[in-house]
Amino acid sequence: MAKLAFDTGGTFTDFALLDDKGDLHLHKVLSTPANPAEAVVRGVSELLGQFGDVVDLDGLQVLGATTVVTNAVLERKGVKTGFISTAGFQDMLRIRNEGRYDLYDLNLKYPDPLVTRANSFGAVERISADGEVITALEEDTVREIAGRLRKEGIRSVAVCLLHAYKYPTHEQRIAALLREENSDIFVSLSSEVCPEVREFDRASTTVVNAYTRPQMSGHVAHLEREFAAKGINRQVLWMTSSGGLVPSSRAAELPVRLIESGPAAGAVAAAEFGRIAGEGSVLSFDMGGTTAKLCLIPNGEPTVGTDLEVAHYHRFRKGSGFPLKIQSIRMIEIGAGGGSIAAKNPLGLLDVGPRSAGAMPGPAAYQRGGTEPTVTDADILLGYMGTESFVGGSFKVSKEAAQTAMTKLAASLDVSVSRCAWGIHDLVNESMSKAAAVHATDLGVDPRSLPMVAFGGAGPVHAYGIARKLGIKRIVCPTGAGVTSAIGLLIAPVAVDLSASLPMQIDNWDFATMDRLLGDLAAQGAEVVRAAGVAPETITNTYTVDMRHVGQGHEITVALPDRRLPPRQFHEELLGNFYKLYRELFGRTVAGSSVEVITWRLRSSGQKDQVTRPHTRHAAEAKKGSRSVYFSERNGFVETPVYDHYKVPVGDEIQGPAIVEQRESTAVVGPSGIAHVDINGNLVINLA
Amino acid sequence: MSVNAADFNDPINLQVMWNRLIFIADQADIVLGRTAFSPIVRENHDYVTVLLDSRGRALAQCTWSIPVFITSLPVAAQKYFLPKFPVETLEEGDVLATNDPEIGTGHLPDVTMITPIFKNGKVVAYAGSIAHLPDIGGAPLHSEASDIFEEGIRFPIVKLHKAGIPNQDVLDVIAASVRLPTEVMGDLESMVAANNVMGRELLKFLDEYDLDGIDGLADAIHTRSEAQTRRAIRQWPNGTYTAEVLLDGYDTDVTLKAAVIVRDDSIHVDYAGTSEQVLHSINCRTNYRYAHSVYALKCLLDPDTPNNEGCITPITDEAPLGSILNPQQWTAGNSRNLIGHVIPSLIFKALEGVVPDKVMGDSGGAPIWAANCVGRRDDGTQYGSVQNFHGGQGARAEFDGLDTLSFPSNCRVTAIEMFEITVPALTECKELIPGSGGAGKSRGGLGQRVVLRNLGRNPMNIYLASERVRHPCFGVVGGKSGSAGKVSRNGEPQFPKGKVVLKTGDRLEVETPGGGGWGRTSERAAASIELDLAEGLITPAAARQIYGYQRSSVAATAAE
Repeated sequence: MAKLAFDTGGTFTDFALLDDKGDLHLHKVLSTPANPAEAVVRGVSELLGQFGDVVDLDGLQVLGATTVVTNAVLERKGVKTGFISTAGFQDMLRIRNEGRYDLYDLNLKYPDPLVTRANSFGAVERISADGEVITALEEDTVREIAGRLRKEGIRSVAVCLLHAYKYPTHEQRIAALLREENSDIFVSLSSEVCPEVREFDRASTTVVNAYTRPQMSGHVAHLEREFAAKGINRQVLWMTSSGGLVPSSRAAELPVRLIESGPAAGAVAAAEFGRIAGEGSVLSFDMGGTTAKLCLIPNGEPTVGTDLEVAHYHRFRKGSGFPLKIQSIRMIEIGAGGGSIAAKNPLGLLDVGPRSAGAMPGPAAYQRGGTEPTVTDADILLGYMGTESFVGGSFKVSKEAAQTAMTKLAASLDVSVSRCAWGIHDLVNESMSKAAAVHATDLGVDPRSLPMVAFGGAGPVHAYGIARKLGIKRIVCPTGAGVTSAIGLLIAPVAVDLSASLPMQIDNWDFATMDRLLGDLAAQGAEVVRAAGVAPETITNTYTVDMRHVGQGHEITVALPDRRLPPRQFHEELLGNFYKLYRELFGRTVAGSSVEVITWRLRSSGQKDQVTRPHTRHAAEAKKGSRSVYFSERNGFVETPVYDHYKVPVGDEIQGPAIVEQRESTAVVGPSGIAHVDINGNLVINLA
Repeated sequence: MSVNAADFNDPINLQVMWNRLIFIADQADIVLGRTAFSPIVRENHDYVTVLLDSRGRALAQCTWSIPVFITSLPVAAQKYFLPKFPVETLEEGDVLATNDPEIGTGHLPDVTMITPIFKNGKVVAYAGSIAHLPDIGGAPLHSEASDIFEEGIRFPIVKLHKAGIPNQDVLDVIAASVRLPTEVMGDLESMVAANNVMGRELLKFLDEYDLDGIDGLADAIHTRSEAQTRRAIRQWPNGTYTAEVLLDGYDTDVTLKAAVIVRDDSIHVDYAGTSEQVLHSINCRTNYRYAHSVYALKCLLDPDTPNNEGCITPITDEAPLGSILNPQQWTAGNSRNLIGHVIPSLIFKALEGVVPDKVMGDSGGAPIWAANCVGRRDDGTQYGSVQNFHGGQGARAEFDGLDTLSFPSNCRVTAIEMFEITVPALTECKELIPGSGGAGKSRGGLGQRVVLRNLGRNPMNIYLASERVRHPCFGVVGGKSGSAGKVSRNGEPQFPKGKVVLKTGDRLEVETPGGGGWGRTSERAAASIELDLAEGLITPAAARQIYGYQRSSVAATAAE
């Protein structure tokens, strides 16, 4: 069965087609931000035009990753949205959690809520923490709100009532009433979008869902129409932030879960590249123009967390955006990429970022108006990136322009140009390796034990330096580094993540309640997964729980033991899982304190797929030439051979220092590295 | 492995190494915060991790911290810990700790802990942490007390661990004196673990760079930071700039007076003229006062440089002994933040003529309001939990103040849903108070109205901390005051501090103060007034009367 994946990004929409014979074809077209579906349709038409004879449309499965949701929020281009909460709490979106993300910045701000105060309403009702109806829902107040929504022309509304994560009846009734009054309204209920305790986080998540839903629904409908016209009738499957695929119907209802769609696909791909390179756990490192993403992938599976945040007012300052309580692949985003600007700070020290030259004006070397030196300029001056073969030679860059920009900064710091360029490169590597170390230790893993999978335009350029700092011994640079996320889509399983908060102490356990809750989750999960075409007998259910000591405020996620175990053994195993992880993370355990579950989680999934791309051996000479490249181990520049990644014969050893170029990326092999291309076409660098 | 690693004045080396030291403090921060039981520690981040050099000078501090901790650890180390336990009395595995308010942060629940870090048998640095324990015996937090002995136990600087072995005698005394021994012992262990993480990571760092110690690096960091602070001070004209503020106090008004004396490249703040100490828990000790003096000035002078000893050296302060900002040792001070939190606003006011574009109106979050709810559930079990409420932030030159924001502390509040699981109190509403923000070119942030109702069958004791009920938050640069705070019980006026008893079904109503405005009301842009009207943040009457806004409605504006 053939698969066709598309990944809508900011600049390009990437495609990967796996045809009926198992061959992989890659493609790229310019994105069409005004209507992202246009680029998708064009790319699909082009690919099918070329390879239609090896693709049976009846069996073709289309898969998508998208920035539609993220961009709607970042660019504030969602629809006019309403918000309904329990009367007396309608200001929740402005009140937030009352903390500050920066201690010393008196001019701090948060992004304006996506719903204005004027469009935030209170419904008269109240349910207590243990489910008692303190105030019955006054339906007239809801009908009145519906009238005001209509008058304001609001088509999408988020509803978040107190304790609805556990007692959703009032929310459900409000949805029914709103639909009675306004038949075409989109209603997002917090109890459906994010049934988890803590009202502000849940409201924030529900609002982002409501804000982006009409757009995502339109996008999904548009594509289904276009694909149907081509004879493709299967539902499109979409990548969620947690690395699983869901059918169009769910993607259109819960777009907030697609907010990290592209990066999640990248992480899934990295896991697969690591696996086919024979590695179990890997550190994935994706560095592009403005940001880098680091993701620890233990045992071939990215870990999934629930603390996401978008639309930071202060770029990359945690706490300055909208919190989202959705399952998403745990990764760290670092505000440094090729476009990050280097400058002298008030203390006279060198700073890199957080300002970025972005795509426009871009690095000084691009000669599009950028005059400040960036990381890319440093990488060019150090010889890591060539000027001839930039993006396959289709893009001209100027080393002189980079030199001019760098000279100014070097003079102001009173260091040489090469020292300055190396300083920038090294400082970026330092922040990446620190982020990687904190990310790994957060998950209780020693980063030195892991191989690194490096991709994205700048990933393989910086991987060697970062690996040396972290003590990492092996780097894998996959083929097709430019379309990694699209490849990830081909591999990802159908999967849906569900959760429910219901605090339960070990000392006061209620198996009947637990069974009912898990049964509900499993039924919901099966419904979605089956809708995506997964056979019921192949569904895997994985249960986890968020636990803590009673009295703590931070939960850790552990596996729930097999429900068929006898009660005592079940508890012993559960506590064992908890204490083991607790000790790994925090280096200690706490004696004599009770333990409780706060949130229950289920992942229902189908099977994972595989993609391999055999390396084709070229007759041509792999070495394309040489250039002068800086290595700190050699205290200066050395003449270094340059190879074409795709022409290097499988298994041949390349002793560093060396440069190995792909179309959109360049791998640096330092003096203590030895590289080879493996049977699957990945460049593997072993560090001494 | 690095080039010229020992050259601490190389602008690139220094940045890389400095960042790493902060990262080490942040790693310890994670360990402490995630394992702590004290809700105040984990929800409010009422703790800190600091790396100190071999002389006890602050080198790097965790990124997320609150003002009280800016100066407390280095002062405690240099003035008390090192003199009492000089290096020759220390061995590997020792852990020193005290909760003496005079040494630490001004109240008993905070424990200050210092662990020497050894390399080759020599102390090269100290790992320090301070955390707010969930209980310290004595009267509950925010209840009334007339001296320190009513407020809990006090242990002087002791070796909590001796050569890696816990000092069980001391730990037993602490455990026997507190209401929550498991949690208190757990939090002390968290602190020990956090300090150990700093030690372990620092040694890794020293090995990596092939260094024997960090004092050379410390000198480089301190020198640069101090020079930067002094450079910023020199931008200000020499002079003495004064301000005073009237506070509610516990039951009688308290005056705080500050004279900010700028002389070339240093600043001295003199609090002469400030009211005398009182027989209540609001006395604010020297360490706490100094931390807030430094915090306010750092916000204005150099908000970007990561905090270290060099940033604070050019700043000194003093207050008369026996005043509420330098009380005698026996005085009570559990709720010292009610006074101390106002210091930054006072300093901003004093400097409104010097740096008008940088100062901020007085904030309704100064101080934090807190309701410590204590009682027994219907099944007889004990509960006790603090909920915080903040007023509006003061206005800034460029921006309106944010609504309901913690300042100068930094304290996220507990989600209502979590609070209601813990405590049988129903929050009936938590909403903004339109019109509460002080008017000005920029408007102060809004305060909030919260109503708590006792749902339980047993009475609920609430220990209340509040301020600015009689004296609202002032504006700066010609801005107006915000609205004052308010406390009532079942609709009747209620004394706003100390113990309030709620019988079943009784309600406590609180209204936090609005932030002060910035600049003259006549200069507020019409568009801002219209937006405020559209969003219901000010009333049409206020738009007319305070801002002289003429148009009758937003609809009319939109139609034009």
